Amino acid sequence: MQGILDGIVHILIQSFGILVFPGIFFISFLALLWEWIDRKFYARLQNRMGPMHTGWHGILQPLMDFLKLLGKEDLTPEKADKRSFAAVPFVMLSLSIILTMFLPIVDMNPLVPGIQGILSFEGDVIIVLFISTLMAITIVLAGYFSSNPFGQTGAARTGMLLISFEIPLIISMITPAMLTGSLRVSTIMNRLAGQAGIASLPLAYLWLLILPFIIFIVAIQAELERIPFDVSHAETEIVHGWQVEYSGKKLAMIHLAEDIMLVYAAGLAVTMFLGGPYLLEFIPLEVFSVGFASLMATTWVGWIYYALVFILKSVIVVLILSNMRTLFARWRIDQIVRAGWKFIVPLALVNLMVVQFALVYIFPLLGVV
Amino acid sequence: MTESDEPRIVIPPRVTIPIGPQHPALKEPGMFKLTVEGERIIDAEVNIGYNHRSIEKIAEGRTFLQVLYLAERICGICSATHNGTLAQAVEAAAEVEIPERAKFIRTLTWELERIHSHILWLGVAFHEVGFDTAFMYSWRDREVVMDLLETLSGNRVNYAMNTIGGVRRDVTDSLKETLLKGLDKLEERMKYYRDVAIYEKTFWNRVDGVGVLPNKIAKSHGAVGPTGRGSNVPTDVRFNDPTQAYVHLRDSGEFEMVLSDREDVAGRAIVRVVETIEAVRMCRWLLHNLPDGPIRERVRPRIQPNEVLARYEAPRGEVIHYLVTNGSDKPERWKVRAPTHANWVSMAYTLRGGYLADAPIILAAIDPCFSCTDRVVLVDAEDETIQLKPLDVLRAESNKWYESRT
Repeated sequence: MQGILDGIVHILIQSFGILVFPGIFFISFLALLWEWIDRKFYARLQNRMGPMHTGWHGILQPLMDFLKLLGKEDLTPEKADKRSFAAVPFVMLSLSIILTMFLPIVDMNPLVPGIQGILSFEGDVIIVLFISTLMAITIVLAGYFSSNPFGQTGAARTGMLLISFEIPLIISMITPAMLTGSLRVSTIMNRLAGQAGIASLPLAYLWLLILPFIIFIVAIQAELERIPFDVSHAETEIVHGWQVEYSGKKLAMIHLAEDIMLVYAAGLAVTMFLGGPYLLEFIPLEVFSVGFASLMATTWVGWIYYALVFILKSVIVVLILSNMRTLFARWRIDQIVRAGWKFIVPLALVNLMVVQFALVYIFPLLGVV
Repeated sequence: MTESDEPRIVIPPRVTIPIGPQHPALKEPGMFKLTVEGERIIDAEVNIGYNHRSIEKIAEGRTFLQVLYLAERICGICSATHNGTLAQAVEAAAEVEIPERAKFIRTLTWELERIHSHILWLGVAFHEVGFDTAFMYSWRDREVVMDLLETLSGNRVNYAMNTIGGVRRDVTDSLKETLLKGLDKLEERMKYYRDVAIYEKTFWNRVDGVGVLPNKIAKSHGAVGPTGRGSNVPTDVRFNDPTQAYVHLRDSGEFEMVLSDREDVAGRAIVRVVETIEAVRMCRWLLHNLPDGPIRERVRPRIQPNEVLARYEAPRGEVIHYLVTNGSDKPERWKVRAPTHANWVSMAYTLRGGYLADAPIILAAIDPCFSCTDRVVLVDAEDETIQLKPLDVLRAESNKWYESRT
């Protein structure tokens, strides 16, 4: 009897985790919040006000846009492949939500040391990269299914973007995996942060993360199709490209999926390079080193604390991404592919070699292991 | 993947992409049929005529003073251009000389308008290549010149500064101070945008070597204004055939025609930006050398039979007003050749061979103004015959069409 009760409680807690916090509801909340921060910061840098009217300084504007789109007429082009056309937004939304499930925001599995995401298993880095590539492929499909010349051009451009920036993204994420010797998102994060009883890495290793972090930020900007890489839905050229035929609920879902991808991108940068939801633990004080982690891991205070630190760090990444969006004009697709293969990919490969060389030869020589 | 029997989504090697009639890159309706192979444009076809308003016909039923206000509604951006050029044409037909001070103030309005038009173009160009930050900044600073124009004329868009025989409002000493202060700010900001346009790599890469219009083609296709000057064609009415105070400006020897031998969109952009700085300097010179005297001369309403051609260098290029008077107070025939009309001809050439991604900036590079340009031409979709129709026939046909619908 006790066992069954425990099982039910466990299932309830798990489903609360998946549906509410830190799952779908929390992620959607963050997605809309990030969009507001992105828009507001972008607007302020451009000497505009940005959204102002819905809620405090327009904080509810993304939600209002979403709700408004839900109520709009939903059109399907006559020549489009109807079922696939309708499926794409669902697939995009669910894939993006699944991606965020891998992010360790609060500890979902106390049995394993360190903070675990809702989904966490050995080798999940590969799954994460696979699904994020799948996202780009759904974008290509969305363009082709709409059977619109703008959509097809946008889809072709997305494909080009995919082959040039997916590789640096993967290579940049290999570096933390190499340093920690693991292919599990949570282990990589916990080892890099050196928390929760997991053997930490020497500080010297962290210098090797700077270049991959820069490559990651550039590649993720391309993955999210933001300026200067927004060729696939450049509105002045091809009128929102692959999105051009989507309207109403489907467009609302696509927008939400894009916002969730921003949460995922910022969260992945935080997890892989910025030490995840740990902050106070890095302060070398006795208060934070003894018992703090276990207190945080076992009580609800920890959930709030980790979530807040995660939000804080993610906001910093979002601001970096928004700032990049402000600084540049849109590149042409041939310029993007050339830049990708001429500079970013070789840089990533050189970085990989440097890391391996340092790990095998230099650090043992210096006595840092 | 697809549920149907035969695959419906076919990617032909050549896709025809319509830019327009409604397109975010176009602020006014116009249609450009681009045939693309991948990202390369193989063929381009320019198709305009969505914005016809029959202004020339309307003008024949109005007095010259009324036509003056109609003329500035040809185009919102270069309203002083059409207004002033028509006033110039009517004065020439009436054979009256307007006071010097009026000439200076008219020229001042024109040059201020050139500044505002060129900054507007710069913002649009930034927007077309996706550089929205510079777009927002340049349009914010455009407000400075809009405010100057408002204090000068009382209006932000349709200035209505000119009247037949002079100008309507005088420049007082306090206004002069305000204008000079505003011009200083504008010059500083424009120098900044010149540096942004030249040294910002992502913008420069998008305009460098794009939309090449060789000097020879520009001459043979009759490119005017910054489009021609960007291809090193010395065409500028302000220097070739000056009127009003431009005679004094040219004779002062302080100003030169801005030319560029780059022949691409970058050349056109540089010509416009440098020209804006020149226009600021011209405005300052005009204010410093403003002569005293009356600002208008009375002209009798009936103009003797005459046939005149008035030219002026509008921000977009040479504008021509052809006016036939018949001794009454209404024009016999009034014909406007807006600069965009002359630049359409070279458009298809510059588009060919470029990238699809560059089409908006190439289109924007001539600073197209559709409403100035449109003439009604009926094209039969089946046999592609072209037919010009007079207004009364059109009206009869449209009445018939509406009757058949009900």
